[in-house]
Formats: sequence, C-alpha cells, structure tokens
Amino acid sequence: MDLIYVDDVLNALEKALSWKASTFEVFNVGSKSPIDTYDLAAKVIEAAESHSTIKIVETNQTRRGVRLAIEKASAILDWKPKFTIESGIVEFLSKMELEAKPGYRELKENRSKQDLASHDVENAVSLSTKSASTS
Amino acid sequence: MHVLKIVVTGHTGFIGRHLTERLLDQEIIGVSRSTANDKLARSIQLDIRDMTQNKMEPYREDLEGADALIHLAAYRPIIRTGREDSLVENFSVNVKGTLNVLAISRRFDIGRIILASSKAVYGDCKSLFIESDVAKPVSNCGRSKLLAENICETFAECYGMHCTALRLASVFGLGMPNTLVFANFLAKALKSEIITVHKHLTGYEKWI
Repeated sequence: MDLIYVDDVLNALEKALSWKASTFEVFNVGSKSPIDTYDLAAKVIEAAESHSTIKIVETNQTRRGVRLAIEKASAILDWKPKFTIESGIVEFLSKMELEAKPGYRELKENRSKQDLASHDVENAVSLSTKSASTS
Repeated sequence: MHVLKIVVTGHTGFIGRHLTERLLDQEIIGVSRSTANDKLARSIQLDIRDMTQNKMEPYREDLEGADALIHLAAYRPIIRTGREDSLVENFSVNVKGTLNVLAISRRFDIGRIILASSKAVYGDCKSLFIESDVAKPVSNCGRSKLLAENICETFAECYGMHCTALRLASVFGLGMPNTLVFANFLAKALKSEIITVHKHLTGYEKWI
C-alpha cells in the first residue's frame, strides 16, 4: 500500500507548476514507504491514543499492493515526500484536533469511558471536515 | 513577486480545498459543480461535463491567459446499486470532462496543465511501478484516468501545450473521503472500537 499525506501532494503540485521543460510528462507521486493494513491500523491506534484492538480476518484471496517509484519526480521536479506515514498521521490528527473543537477534544477526553454514541463521533469527524474547508 | 493566475477544477474537493488554502497568495479561479466550502473570491459553479465553449464564453475574461490550470475534478467512486451507472458517470467525468477542460484551456490560451492522475492506471501486475511501465489498469477509475492522460498528451503534441500528469498514491489528510480504509480505521480508533483487517494468502491487505 502506498499512502501519502496531502501536504506532500500539494508540494508536488507546486513543483509541477514551476516546471515545463517538456510538453507532456508523467510523474509518480507516492510515499516510498509501503505499509500494510495491519501496520496502518496499529499506527492510527497509537497516534490517536485509542483503546481499539485489531481483529484479523483471514481470507483465501491473493492481492498485490501497488507501490510507486518516485525517483523520476525526485530527479526532475526536485520533489520528495517530507512526511512519513507516522508523521503524516500525527500532523493530520493535530490539525483535526485544532480545527474540530470542541467535538474531537471531547471525544478524546471521554473515549476511555466508552459511553459515546456513534453519532457523536460522526459529528466530530464531520465538524473537522467542515472546519478544514471554512478556515 | 509575480502573482500567478491559476485555474483549479474541483477546488471544493478534498485536495482542492487544501490546495486553494496553500495558494492564497496567488490569484485562484475555481471551477466546481459545488459551491459548498467555496471561499474563493472568484469561482465558477459548473460541472466539467458541461464545460462547453458556449457555457464558458461568459467567463472568458476570468480565464483567458491564466498561467496554469490544475485539473483536480474527477469522478469520486461511491457505492451504487447499478454498476453501469457508475461506469458511465466515471468515464463521463474523467474522460469527457477532461476533454472539455483541455479544449477550453486551448481556446482561452492556458498553456500549462497539471492533471491529478492516479496510481490506478498501472493495474496490479506487479508491485513496484515506474513511469515507463506499460499501464494496464484493472479498474474503471484506472482506465478513465489513463484516457485522461492520453487526452493531455494529445493536446500537448497537437497544440504545444505543456501538460504534466501526476499519478497520485492514496492521499490522506483532513477532509479525506470517508470511503477510504484509512478514514474507516480512524473513525473506529476515535471510538475505541475494534478495527478489522483482512489477511490474504499474500499477507495483509496492501491496497487502500
């Protein structure tokens, strides 16, 4: 799995804006650090200081993840991701906390009580989205 | 400092909202079918599928001679009951819409285009892809994005426009679509609920 933080995509767009050496070119914009779903779940739980547990469901399917080589963008656009998956999650959550008040903070404070209705969480996430777009 | 005039399609979407905040010191003109979350001083409410010459002519003064156009507007997969509907809508937005965007750009003398493409153009025949690999998309999103790239390449070759396609990995951040696995994990983590991950014969799921 190739997962990239949005700020790194903005950096790539800005680099591409100032580059026009050829008429048509494609560039991969990826993280260079693949992660599987188990590790992602673990990192999200850790960063969010959550009490969630991970349930593993085994299947008999085969599936291959896709990863992007970013050497071309690095060499030509002088772009490379600044965020790791860990620092991206931390940055994301800190922005969510800053912009989603009071929902997200209340959620964190009360989470250990396990007594929040699910719609409260949905409201908090929705709030954060709305905040991001209107700030 | 020279202020750039930049047209952004899909400026009210996930990446678009972040981008317009980042480019506040530039002159941004947004094009989106939605006015939700629109804080720009100048924006055009229009679906890119309707971005015809006639409909865009009233905006000539706004768009003409812009330094660049960043094409973010795209079909966003959602769960539907009719697969045919989503397939047609997907190609209508990503292919016909991109053709409209390029045609209007040419008409209004916007010579620099950046397309937000996707890693989905590669398909899944191997794990690590470089840009020169043959693209064999296996999803409708990948197929339509590859055609969008081909349209950009065609306009670049025929009219000398400068087009760059960025094949994006899965993007996460504030305001990301709640259909992403990441968003699902986060919502569950915030509620301290159990997070379910699937382990295939090849290991844990690597696709998000």
